[in-house]
Amino acid sequence: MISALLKPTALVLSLGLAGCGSDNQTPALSDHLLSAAKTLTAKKGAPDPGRAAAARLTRAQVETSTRPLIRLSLEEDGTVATAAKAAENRSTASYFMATGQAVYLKDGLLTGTRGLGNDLMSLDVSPATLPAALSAGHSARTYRYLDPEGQIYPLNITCTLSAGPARTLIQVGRSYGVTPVSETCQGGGESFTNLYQINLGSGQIWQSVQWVGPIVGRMKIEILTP
Amino acid sequence: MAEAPPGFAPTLGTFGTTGLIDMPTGESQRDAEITTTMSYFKGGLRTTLSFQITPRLSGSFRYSKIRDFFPTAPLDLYDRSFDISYRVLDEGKYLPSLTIGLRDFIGTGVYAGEYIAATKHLHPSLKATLGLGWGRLGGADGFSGRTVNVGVGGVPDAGNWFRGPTALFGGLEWQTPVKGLNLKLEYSSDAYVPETVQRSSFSHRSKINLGADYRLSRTTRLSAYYLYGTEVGVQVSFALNPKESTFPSGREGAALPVAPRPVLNPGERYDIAWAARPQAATRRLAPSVKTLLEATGLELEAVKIDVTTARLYIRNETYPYPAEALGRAARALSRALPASVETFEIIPVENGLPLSATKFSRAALEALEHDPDGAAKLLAASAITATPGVPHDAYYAEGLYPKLTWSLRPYIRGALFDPDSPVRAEAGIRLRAGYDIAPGLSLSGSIIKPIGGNLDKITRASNSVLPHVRSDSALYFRQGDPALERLSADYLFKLAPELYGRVSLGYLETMYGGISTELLWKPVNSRFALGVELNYVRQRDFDQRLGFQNYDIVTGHISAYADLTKGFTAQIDAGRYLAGDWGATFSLNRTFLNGWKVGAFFTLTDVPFNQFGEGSFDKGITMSIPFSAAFGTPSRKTADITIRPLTRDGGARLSVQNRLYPIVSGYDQNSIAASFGRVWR
Repeated sequence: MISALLKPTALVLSLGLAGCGSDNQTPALSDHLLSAAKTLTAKKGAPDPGRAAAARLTRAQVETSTRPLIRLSLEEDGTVATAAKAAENRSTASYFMATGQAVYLKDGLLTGTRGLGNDLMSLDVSPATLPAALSAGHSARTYRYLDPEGQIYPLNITCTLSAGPARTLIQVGRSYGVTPVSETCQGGGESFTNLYQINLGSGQIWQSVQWVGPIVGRMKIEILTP
Repeated sequence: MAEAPPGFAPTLGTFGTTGLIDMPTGESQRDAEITTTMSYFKGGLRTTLSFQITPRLSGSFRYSKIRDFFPTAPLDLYDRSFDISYRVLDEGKYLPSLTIGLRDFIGTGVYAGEYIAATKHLHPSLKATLGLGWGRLGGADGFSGRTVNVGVGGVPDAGNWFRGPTALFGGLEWQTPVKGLNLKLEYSSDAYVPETVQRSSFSHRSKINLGADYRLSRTTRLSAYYLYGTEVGVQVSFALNPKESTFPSGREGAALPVAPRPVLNPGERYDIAWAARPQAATRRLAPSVKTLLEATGLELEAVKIDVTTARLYIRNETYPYPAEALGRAARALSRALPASVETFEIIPVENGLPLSATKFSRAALEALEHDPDGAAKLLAASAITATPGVPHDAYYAEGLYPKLTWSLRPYIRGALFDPDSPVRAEAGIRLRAGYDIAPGLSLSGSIIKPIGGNLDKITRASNSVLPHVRSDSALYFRQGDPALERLSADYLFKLAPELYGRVSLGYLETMYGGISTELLWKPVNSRFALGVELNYVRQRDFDQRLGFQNYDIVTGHISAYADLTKGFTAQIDAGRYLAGDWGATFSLNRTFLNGWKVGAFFTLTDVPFNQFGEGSFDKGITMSIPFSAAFGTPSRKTADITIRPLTRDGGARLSVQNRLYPIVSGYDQNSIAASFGRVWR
């Protein structure tokens, strides 16, 4: 059937009813088409209750969490979500959102995302920490992504770093003494700036805006509980 | 990589191949591009499916309708044609891009023509093409001096290629400042002699054609033409590319994180008291393994755990990339098993067959989870080997055997290329049921109830002089309401770690019932496999209930499979076909790791071409489109399409389910290693 190459929405009309069966783990084409149709007909920009709650988060709510919390916002489309720390291995922490998506942070640097569709699979940074890169004045970064055939490809980026005057950061009911650091990066046809609010005494990055990749853009990361 | 830069990409002409308007250019589409084009003007309606087989080689299949083609009666010509073209030169600073192509090289020859075309950018937004054509592209006299060889078609007409008078063609394509709009001007060497001189489909007053091509989106282009001084033409084309995706990493959630074990002090070792009675320990640990696997989108088949090694048998219905399923299972195990278990051997099971074992070192999983180069390092630290059957003392997950599954869903099925109605379709309801009795042993079947459509209205009766082994499909469509599509008992088993077997018994497919047996030898680390299949079948009644007709046959094949690397696989099946004819089927597929597959096949048997009838021999195109590509959610399901220009009785094979090679090859060493980029996904 050549018509299968046409847009799936055209076929939905002729498949007016959903299937049923003993096993809903493996949906058939008709189920996929129906859910695609629902997504297409869903109102764009309709308020998402989870997003609104994440945006309005209070310190009292943060305190009720048994796990360390962060708040993530995507610059590109304004998505906001909270994520809770689920594991730590070799000083890289995994934070999971309620949707099952995750981000990996190593000493506050975003080293991976999972479930965004255009994930950052890994990040190799040298020097390895922000304070070390700041004293060197520059850093070399290798971002790795998946292509549509499941192969990993690297993107090599070089950055220069500079610090601004110390200031106070107020974030969800707490204030922190921080130094703003900006990291200006270029390579592989991409250019972007990462911004960090770091306490140079403890090395804690309380807030940052870090680049994920060419399609996802930058992500704001707020550490609500360290 | 959602959208490649628009650039000045080659566009498609009225023949659905890379070209100006009616004339080809010296360029190719992007590698792996699949395009469907419908083009209409008074000279013909052409629907073309093209595939850029390699960066240089492209192939097309076309179905055309030429109105009132036959001079004696007001009859339309429905014509199938195949094209092939090869880009010999890439465009350089001075050199043009150059292609050599054959149009309609195995059809009945109405569009038969050969060309050499060169294309060069004169300016970043202006391209010029100059070409030399033969046959149909050789001007008004292009066919003189060539033998007329229409016959029943379907045979490469090599004796006529690049013979007879030649003519020049050419043109310009300008990428206008209006985004997406290209304008085309061409000088055509196609005189449309059959349409305008021998008949009068339209009048041909000029060799100059004008065109406008508008790129509506990455997938869709619209074109309009002013042709031969008299006619207006329109065209729409759709493009897909297996090498492109909006969500290359997929939208599925993250895997469970690795749970690192406590670090041991020198002289310490992990507790092994838990494993004093390994079978009891396995039974105790299995429920949490099952829960964790389900949380990561996989299913537990069986598990065997001892002091240092765990063997985990999983079912993967979710992830198209084998390594992604394995990596998820390994991480789930790290959260479930006692610290002394150092090796995770993970074995995918399909239809009860354990296929291959990937051995992960738990220490490597812990060390490499967040390593920037973790995928390549984990592959180096792992081993992919053959595996025997599931050991007797393994613990099977509860509820798998016996297990009844069923579904009731709408279906659509179609038939193409009936001259009375080239596209026929039918919609209805399909009830499927399966009963898994023991590992590898199952009963399954399906019944359909057509609700509406025009598939049952085919009136053409088979004119085949062979036994009507496939050509009575109209009778099956008409009388099968409701129809028992299939009802069979299947047993799949392992005779040795790399030797597989299958026995199927019952109503094997819509037209045949009987017994089908198969053996396959597929080493896990080899690019080659050998198989043998032997069947005894009887033709089913047209009403597709329980009865049989008088025709029965012993049919079977010896099959050789080769993985030619870079995603290409070849297959040869030699043996006896349903009509009792002897011969071989040759197939070539390009498989993409993400589940896309595009292929072509042909079958030559001892049935003479004139006895076979129109088309001369069986041939066709196959395509599998993964659901995950269309919807971004992980799924191993694909929509499978086979397009045969003609379905006749020579070279027809039994269509039995559960053939072994597709089941087994998906988890060989090559497929697993090639997908390791996703092991940490």
